[in-house]
Amino acid sequence: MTQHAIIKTAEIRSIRWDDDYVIYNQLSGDTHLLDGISGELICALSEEAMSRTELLKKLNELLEVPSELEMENYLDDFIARFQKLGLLDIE
Amino acid sequence: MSNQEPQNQGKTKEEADVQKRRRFIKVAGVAAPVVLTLANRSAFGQAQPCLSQQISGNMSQIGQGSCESGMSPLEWKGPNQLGTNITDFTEVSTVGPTTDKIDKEVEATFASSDLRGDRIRIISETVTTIKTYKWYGTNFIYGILTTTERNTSSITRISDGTSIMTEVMVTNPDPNPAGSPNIGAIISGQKFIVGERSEYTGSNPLTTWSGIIPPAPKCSDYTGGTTFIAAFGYGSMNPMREFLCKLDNPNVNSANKLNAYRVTAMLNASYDAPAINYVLTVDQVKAVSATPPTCPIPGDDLSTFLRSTWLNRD
Repeated sequence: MTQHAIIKTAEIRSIRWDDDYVIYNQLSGDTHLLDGISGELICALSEEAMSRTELLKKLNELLEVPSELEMENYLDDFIARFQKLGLLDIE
Repeated sequence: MSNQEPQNQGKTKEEADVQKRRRFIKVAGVAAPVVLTLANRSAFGQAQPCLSQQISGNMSQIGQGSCESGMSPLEWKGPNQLGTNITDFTEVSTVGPTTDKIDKEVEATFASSDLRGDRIRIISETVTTIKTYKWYGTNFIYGILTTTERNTSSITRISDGTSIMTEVMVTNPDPNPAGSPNIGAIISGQKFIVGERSEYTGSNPLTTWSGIIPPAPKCSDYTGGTTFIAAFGYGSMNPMREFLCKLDNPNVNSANKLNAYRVTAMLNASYDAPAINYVLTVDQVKAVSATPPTCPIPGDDLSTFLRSTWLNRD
């Protein structure tokens, strides 16, 4: 995926309980329970599509002592996992 | 519990509280994303919808629960112009054969007649068979095939008793002079010619033949069938089959082509012999096909999306 690729979510509805997020995908009808970090990122993407760089910046805001390598690995995993689930679309 | 809607207005107290909670979840390090999925499942235990898999581009994934592509419009259209019957049909009913005799004096025009027509006597026998078919694996009626075999033994001009060997067209089926034969029913515009002539009645264009062996019927030789509005609850009153028939025309317009795709998707979603894990359920086909759609359409447009569900085959 290039740095200029745009990442956006499917049509979702979300509810947050403490640090957990429940995301409902309106297209597939699937319901997902997400950890706090993933939930924040998905909700941010539901408000506006972002590039990978912008998403990385968002992730940085959520982490107290962010390690660049940790963030890159997390983001790769996040994008791959949620794209497979149909929650993310990359253009 | 609250439903967090995206908000773009200036900060309110509620938004400030939300931000405070968001900062609270900052962590020193982070493991892999944690996600548990409760997959959507039909209350009636049908094949699991796999729209999310299709959207993610994993149509090629195989294994339990994976999406399956549907059949293409050509495969559902039925008999093609080459006469090859691709589609499986189930015969629903057969009426006939019924035999109708005609021995009738009418007025008709033909090659050597007056412009207004001459009075002639037609002796003919018609054998009609009506078969109704539905698409195999669905409850939708494909159409009705009406085969009419006519054997006209004689056509005679009343005025001079000459035999008419060219085709005649009836202009007045009931001049009904006293004492003339009047057996059977003929309608104005009906054509007769001495000899055996058969047709798929109602076909458009009309398919006719002479001899015993009929040509393999094609899509346009059928009439009727389940209408679009009966299947979808809205839209055209034309039979579903007709939209597929229109695909024979290389210049088919985009509206008819889109309706053909809607029909194809409906047939795929309805197929149950055995049921396939098609991308869309029947309700989803109705929803995306509505104008305007009552659920979001993945991708750019409905036509492109529907074609992708049968892997873009014709």
